[in-house]
Amino acid sequence: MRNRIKVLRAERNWTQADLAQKLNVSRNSVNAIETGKYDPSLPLAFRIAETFDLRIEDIFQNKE
Amino acid sequence: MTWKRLPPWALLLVGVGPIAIVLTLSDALPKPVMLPLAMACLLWAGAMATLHWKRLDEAAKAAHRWAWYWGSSLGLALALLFAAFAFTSPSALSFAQGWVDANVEQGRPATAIWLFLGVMATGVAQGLGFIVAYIYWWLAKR
Repeated sequence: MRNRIKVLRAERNWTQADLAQKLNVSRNSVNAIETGKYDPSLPLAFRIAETFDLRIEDIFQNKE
Repeated sequence: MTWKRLPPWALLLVGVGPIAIVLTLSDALPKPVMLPLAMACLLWAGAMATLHWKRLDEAAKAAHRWAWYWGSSLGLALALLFAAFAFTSPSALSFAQGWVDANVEQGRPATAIWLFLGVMATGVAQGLGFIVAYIYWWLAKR
C-alpha cells in the first residue's frame, strides 16, 4: 500500500512527532506507516484521514 | 511522572524487577517463603505484561507478533537443535557442569538443576531471537 502521508505532513509543516501526537500513536509507528512498512488498521486509517481532513483513498493507494 | 504515563517498556522493567530480586536473594530466603513469593512475582509480571500489551499502539503490536513468530520460533528451533546435539554429545554441556556441581553441593537435586537450566536456556534463546527480530522489524525500510 502506497501513501502520501510524508507529503501531506510536509505541506502542513508537521513533524512525525506532531502527527503521532494527533493520532495518539508512537512516532515510530508514524514512521512505519509512512515508509510502507506497516499498513494501518481501518480505524487508524480513518483517524489519519480525519486528521488531514481528506478521504482515505486520497491518502492511501493500492500498489497495483 | 505518574504511574499511568509510564512508557510500555518501563512497565516490563517494573514487572521483571521483582523476579530478578527474588532470584538474586533465593539462597538467603527461607524455603517456605520462596514459593509464594515466586508465585506472587510471576502474577505481578503477568499483570505488568498485560498492561504493557494494552499500552502498545497497533504498529508496535504488529512488530511484537512478527518478532514472536519469526525471532522466538528461530530461537526455539536453535535451542531444540542444541538440545539434540547435547543429548548425543554430552560434552557440549561441560561449560555448565561446574555450576551444576556447585548447586548439587548445596543439596539441590541434579535433575532439577538441569531442568531449570534447560528451561531457562530455551527462554533466553527465544527472548534473544525476539529482541533481534523486533529490532530488525523497526529498522528495516527506515
